[in-house]
Amino acid sequence: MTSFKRILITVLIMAVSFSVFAGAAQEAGAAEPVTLTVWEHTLQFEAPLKTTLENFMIKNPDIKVEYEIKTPDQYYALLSTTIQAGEAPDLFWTNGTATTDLANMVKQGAVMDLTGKIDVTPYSDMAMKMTIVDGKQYLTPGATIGTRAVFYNKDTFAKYGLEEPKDFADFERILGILKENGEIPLSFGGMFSWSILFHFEPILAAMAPDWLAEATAGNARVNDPRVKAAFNKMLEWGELGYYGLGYLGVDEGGQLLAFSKGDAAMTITGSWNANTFNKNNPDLNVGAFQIPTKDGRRPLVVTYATGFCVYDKTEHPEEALRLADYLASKESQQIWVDQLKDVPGIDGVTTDDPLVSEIVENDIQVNSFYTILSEFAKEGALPTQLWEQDNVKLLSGMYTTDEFVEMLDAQLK
Amino acid sequence: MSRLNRKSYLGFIAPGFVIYTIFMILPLFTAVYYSFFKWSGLGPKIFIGFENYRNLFFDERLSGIFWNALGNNFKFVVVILTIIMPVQLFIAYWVDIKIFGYQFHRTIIFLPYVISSTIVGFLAMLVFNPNIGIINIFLKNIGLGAYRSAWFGDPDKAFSLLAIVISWQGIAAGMFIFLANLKGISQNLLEAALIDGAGRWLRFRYIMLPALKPALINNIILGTIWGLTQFDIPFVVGGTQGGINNSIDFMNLFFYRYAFGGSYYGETSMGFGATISVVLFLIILAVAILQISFLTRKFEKDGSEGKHL
Repeated sequence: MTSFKRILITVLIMAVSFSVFAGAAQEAGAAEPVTLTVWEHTLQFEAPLKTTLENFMIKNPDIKVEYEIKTPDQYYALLSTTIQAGEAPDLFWTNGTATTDLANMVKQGAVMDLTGKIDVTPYSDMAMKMTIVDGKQYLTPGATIGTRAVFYNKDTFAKYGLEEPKDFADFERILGILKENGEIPLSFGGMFSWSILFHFEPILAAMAPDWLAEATAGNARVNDPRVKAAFNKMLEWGELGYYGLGYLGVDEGGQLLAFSKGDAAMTITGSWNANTFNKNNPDLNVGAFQIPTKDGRRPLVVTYATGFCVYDKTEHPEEALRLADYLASKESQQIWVDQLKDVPGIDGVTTDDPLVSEIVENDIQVNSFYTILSEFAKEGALPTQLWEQDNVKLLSGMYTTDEFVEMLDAQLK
Repeated sequence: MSRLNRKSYLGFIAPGFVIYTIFMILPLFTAVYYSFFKWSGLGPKIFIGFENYRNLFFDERLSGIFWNALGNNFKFVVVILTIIMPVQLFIAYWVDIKIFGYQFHRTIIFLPYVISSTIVGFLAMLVFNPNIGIINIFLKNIGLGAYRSAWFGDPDKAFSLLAIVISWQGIAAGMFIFLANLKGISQNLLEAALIDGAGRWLRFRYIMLPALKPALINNIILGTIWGLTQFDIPFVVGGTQGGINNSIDFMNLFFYRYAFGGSYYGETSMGFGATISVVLFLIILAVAILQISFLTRKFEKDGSEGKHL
C-alpha cells in the first residue's frame, strides 16, 4: 500500500472516530443540567445566597447555579463591562430605583421585564416600589427591611449602670458618660461615605422626623434648618470626641471591628451588620435601639431590600425566571431573614431573633435621606453621587454645613 | 540576497506587531474616538465634540479635581526621583559591596515586592487604623499617646504616608536595576583606582556613578511612569474618592471614578473617562519624550567629552 493511501486511510479513520465521539459527547451534554450564573455585590450576603441556591437546586435538579460575589465599590463597573461585552450573568443583584443604574440598564435593554412572570402577591406596594421602572417590574423584590440602628455593648452599659436612652437628651448624656470614662462612645467609619450615611440617617430621624415626612411628600428642601441642625449635631459629636481618635481614618471594616472587639461601646450602622458582629465575636453581648426623639419616640428608617434582575440576553430565560421566582418566594426570603438576622417586611416571613426585635422596636417609620435625594433629583443631576463623593469633605471641614446642603439642594427639583 | 531573504525579518516581527496593534494601539485610538462622545458605556453614543475636554479643563468642579489629582501624581514623581531613587541606589551599592548581612537585607527588601498591592493596601489600613491599628496602640503603650493620629484620615499626613507604603512595596524594582548595572562594572578598574589611592567615595563618584547612567536613565523614565500611573494601593487605602479631601487622589483613580462611578452625567460616563485617559496618555508621552531626549543627549555629550570611562 502506498504511503499516500496509508495516510488517507488514517485520516478517514480519525475523522470517523472524532464524529462518533463528538456525537456521544453532545448526547451526554444534552443530559447535563443548565448552568446559571448569579452575581451578588457583597460578601455579607454570601451565606444566605448560597443556602438559597442550594435549596433551589435540590428542588430543580435540572438547573445548576453558580454564584460570584463582587465588592460593592467595583460591582457596577464590572457589571456594566460584562453587559457591554454581552456576557452578563444570568441574574444579578441591583439596588433597584435607589440609584439610576437600574433605569439606565432598562433604557439599554439589558434587563428582562418581569411583570407578571414571577409571583409577587405577598409584597406590598412599598416593597415593590424599588423594583418598578416606568410602570414595569425589572427586579425581584426583597421581603426584608433594611434599616439602621444603634448597636450597643450590653456589658459596657451594665458596667456604668446605663440603660437604653429614653429620649434624645438621654442619649447624649450616655455619650458623655462613656467619654468621661475613657470609652469610645461611638465607633464611626468617617472615611467611608456609606458609613456616614447610615450614621447620619438615624440622627436626622431622631432630630427631624417631621422634615423626613414633609420631604417624602415633596414639601421640604434639603437646605432646611432642621437638616443643617442634624449635620451639625453629627459634627459636634466628632468634636466632642465621641467617635474616638482619628475617625476620619477609619473605614467601615474598622468601624465594625472596633465595636466587635469591645473597643467601642456603640456603633450606628445598618441592621444587616447584626450578623457581622456575631461572626466577628460570638461572645459579644449586643443590644440595639433606635435613637429616640426629644419627646421619646423611636423613629425607624425604612428601606426595602432589593433582589435580582434577569439579564435580558440570558441563554436560559425559562430557567432564569424559575430562579427569579424562587428568589422572590417566602421560603427564600425566610432564609435571608434567618441568616442575616434581617428585619422581615412581609406577612409570612418571620423572625424570633431577639436582637432583630430590638432593632425594629419603633413608634414611627420614616423614609431614608438617601431615598429622598434619589427620588427628587433634577433631570440629569445625581445628588446621591455628590453625597457619596463629598460627604467626607463635610466631616473633614473642607465644606461647611451650609455649603454642603446648598450643593445637595441645587441638585434637586 | 533575494527579496524574500531581505524581507524575512518581517515574518518574525509580524505576530508581535499584530498583537501589539490589537491590544495597545487600537484601544488607544478607540479611547480617543470615545472621548468625543457622551456615552454611558451602554446604548447609543451622542457626539459632543470637545465638550468633554472643555469640562475637564474648565468646569469649576471637575477641573479642580483634575488639577488636584494630576498635582498628586507629579508630587509623587518628585518623591520618586529625589528620595526613592537615591535610596534605591544606596541600597544597591550596599548590596554590591557585600556589606555584612547583605543577603538578608536584599531578601527583606525584595519580599514586599512579591506581595499583591491589594494586600499591601489592606495591611496598611489595618496597621494605621486609628482605633485598633498597632501603630496607635504601640504609641499609647509607650507613653506617646499624644502622637497618635488619624493617619490616612488626616489630609496633611495621608500623602506622605501613602508614599512610604508604596515605596516599601516598590523599592526593590529600581534597586535591582541599579544592582545589575553595578555588577557590570569592571572590578579591575575599581582595583586599579584603589591601588592609585582612590577611596570609596572617589571610586563611587568617578567610576561607578558614570557607569550607572544606563540604569539611571531607565529608572528615571520608569519611575516617572510609575508615579504618573499610580492606582492600586491608593484605591485600597483611599477608596474611589481618593481619600479625605482628595488628598490621595490620582489620575487613574479620577478616571476610574468618572468612567465607572457615574458622577458627571448622572450615569456611567465612559466618554468622559476616555477623555481623562487620553489626556493622561498625552501627558505621560510628553514627559517620557522630554526625558529620553534630554537624558540620552546628555549621555552622548558626556560620552563624547570622555566624562565616563
